[in-house]
Amino acid sequence: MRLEELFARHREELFRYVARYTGDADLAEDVVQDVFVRLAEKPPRSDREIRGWLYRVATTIAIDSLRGTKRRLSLVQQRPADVPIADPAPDPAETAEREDLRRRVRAALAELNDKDRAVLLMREEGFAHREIAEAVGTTTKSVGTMIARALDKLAQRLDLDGEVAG
Amino acid sequence: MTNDALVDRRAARLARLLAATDAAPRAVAFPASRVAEAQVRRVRASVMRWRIAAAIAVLGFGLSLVPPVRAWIAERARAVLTLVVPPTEVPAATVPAPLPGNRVLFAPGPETFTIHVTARQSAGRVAIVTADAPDAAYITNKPGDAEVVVLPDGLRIVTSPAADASYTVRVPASLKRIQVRIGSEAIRTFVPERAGERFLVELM
Repeated sequence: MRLEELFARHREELFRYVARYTGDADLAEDVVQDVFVRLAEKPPRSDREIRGWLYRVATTIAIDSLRGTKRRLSLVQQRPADVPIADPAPDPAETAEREDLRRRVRAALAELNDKDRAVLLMREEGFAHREIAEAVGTTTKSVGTMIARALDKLAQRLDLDGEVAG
Repeated sequence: MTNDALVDRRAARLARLLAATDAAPRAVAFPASRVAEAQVRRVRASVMRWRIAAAIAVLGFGLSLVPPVRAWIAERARAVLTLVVPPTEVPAATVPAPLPGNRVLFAPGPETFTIHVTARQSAGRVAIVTADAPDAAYITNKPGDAEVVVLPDGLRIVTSPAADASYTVRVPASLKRIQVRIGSEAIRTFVPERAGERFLVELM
């Protein structure tokens, strides 16, 4: 498959994943582009499981970028422009509440270590444990443990044990 | 609630929180120019790898032409081969000679005749005598613990440091050269000029 086609197919989900991972939409945009530059320069030997390769490289670049630019602060200082534009809340109180929730979610994710955060967010993107294990360099068995541990930690900061509204 | 159920429940809750707080989707642009540059770098890197591989191959080939290196490579190759294939004698014309006191006839070619004594002995010598009769080459040995193997272009005297046998090798004077090697020592070369010459090689 051509690079442009791969890009069109995966850019949206990769952007979402990296934006969640870094808490920085601007950085996520750069990382997504960097992933495809890397793909052009050093493609994987096999086209199989290219999606896992894209996420693995995206995670690596994101971690390097966060460490290099010390943009981790942006996890809790994101610009208002990055608040979802879909379904905007006209009510100022509701907007403030949503912004507060966003900051708490970002802060809680930032508390996780790099690998646990990647494992958890890749699960959210629908990856199987085996694929996650390959991407982050661990065993399939460990992935379940890492997910449970990450959720335990998040549950201390966020209301994860309440009822899920339909 | 089981652990799996708890994980699923928390994950579902987290999914909703993430979806509600995600950054607005962006139409990330395809980095066409950077991708093109990366592809050029990839091609250059590939060419460079081939050049390096070719340079290494040429260097290796050149080194293999230098006698000490060639000898070392040959020795290593033999060592490896003996691990895979048990060493065997050259099959053609290989004739184990009878033990002490016997005479073995052989027919050397016109060029080089090689005598390889596998080890130095406690005593003994090899006497090489040239003769006019081209078809009357033979080796005799005085009693001792050794064995003679006739090869297509020479002889191998399989002996040991404890042996003390002596050998007389008669060869045609028409040979261009006679080479004698003891163990892995340097080869000694004799050039026959006429019949009746006698070359002596001490084995002790």
